[in-house]
Amino acid sequence: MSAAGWSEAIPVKWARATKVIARRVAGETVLVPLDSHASDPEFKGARLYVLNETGEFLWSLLDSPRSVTELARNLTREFVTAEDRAIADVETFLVALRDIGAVREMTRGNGE
Amino acid sequence: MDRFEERLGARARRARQPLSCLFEITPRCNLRCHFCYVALDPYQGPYLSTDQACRVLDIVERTGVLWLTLTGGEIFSRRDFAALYRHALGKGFLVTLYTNGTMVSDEVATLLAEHPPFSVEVSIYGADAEHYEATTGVAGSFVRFERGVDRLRRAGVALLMKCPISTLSATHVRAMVQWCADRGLPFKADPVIDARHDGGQQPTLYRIEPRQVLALRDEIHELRHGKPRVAGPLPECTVQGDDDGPEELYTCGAGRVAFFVDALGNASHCVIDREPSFPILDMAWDELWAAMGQWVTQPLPATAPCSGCSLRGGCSNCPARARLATGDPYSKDTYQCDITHAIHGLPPARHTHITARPLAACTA
Repeated sequence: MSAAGWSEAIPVKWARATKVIARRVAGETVLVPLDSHASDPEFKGARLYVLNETGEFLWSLLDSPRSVTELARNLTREFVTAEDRAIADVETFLVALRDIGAVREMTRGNGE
Repeated sequence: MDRFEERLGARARRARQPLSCLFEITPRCNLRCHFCYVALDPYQGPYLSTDQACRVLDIVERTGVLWLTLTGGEIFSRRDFAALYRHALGKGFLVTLYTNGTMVSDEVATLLAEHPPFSVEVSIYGADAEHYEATTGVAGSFVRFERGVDRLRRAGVALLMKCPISTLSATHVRAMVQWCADRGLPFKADPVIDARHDGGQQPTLYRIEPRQVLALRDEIHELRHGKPRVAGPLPECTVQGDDDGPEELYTCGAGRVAFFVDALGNASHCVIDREPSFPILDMAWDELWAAMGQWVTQPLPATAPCSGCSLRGGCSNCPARARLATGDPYSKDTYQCDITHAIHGLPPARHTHITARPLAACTA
């Protein structure tokens, strides 16, 4: 995954995966994998993820498929951050969410 | 992003934000355990319909609850269990199931394999038919239990075996621990039998002596972990009082980060003490939650026997158990008090001005 500044030739788009549900819990956005199970049933241990403010903003944008460039551009409009830093942050965010199955890469073959 | 549990639990408690809900979807059960605390009549009701139960789940989801436990009765005795379960998963709950395991059919196992729950906690009453059925009162139930657990294991769900220790099973613990170890299943024992939630005292006839609670707790720890247990309080309630101070009526998470809904749709702070309760389908949530909060956070009267007790924060006595034992939530359950004193190596407290309920209290 990479983005060449604002001018990606064939932008890969990203969208929310259907195997994760975002919940508002105690004022925060928590990502809950649908197949989440207790790593230790006695103590109810589970790996769950809470989005910070930037993450919540990016997650809200991912209700429809977006490229790294689009996400980064929106990030620079909403938060005080440089373009390069925004792209790096978006890429880090997407990789982290992809690894827990929260987002998926949309290819041209599937109509996106 | 970071780990949710590590960061949010304490904040939720301070803010009185519910995080977990225990939902009794049915009081009906196929077993007849002598010490069952459920007092709702299986043949009365009307209990929540599929639509009503789903509406309860909708409300619970909007409160911000993340950990949902479905309990009974026996949850798989509901013919619409699959519909309720799928509805709960679709809401983004982490769903734990409490079951006796005897009604886990191939269809149930397939459902759970395809849509895994967060965890399944199965009650175990014995490692052979003689001991198991001495508790359940149903011939043939042990075979069904073993078959159900095997199906759950093959389904690949996260399993925890739980044993309520009673006079019927106290001498049989080693065999149950071994039964679980042979199958690679974790075993957890609860050495405290509670009275029925309507105050009926019959289950307490099956309680073991307070000192035996301690001995068994240590024995089980050594059997499971191969080394002696370090002394400490019973893990009765997972959320203990902290900066709210120990002198409020409740010191656990009841009504603060957790609540209970029964099969009639009545919400209360606790599963074993269901008063006060509120109709969750007919009452505005904010109003309900505020009323529940007023109950659990009220000051413990200075005249209460536990007022000022330095052991109170880690004691398994609580207003719920006090009410069950005496009819008075401000009093105390002397059995729990004796256990706590024994844990701390202290002589039993003097139980003056405590009147226990008669055996048949509050039963219809």
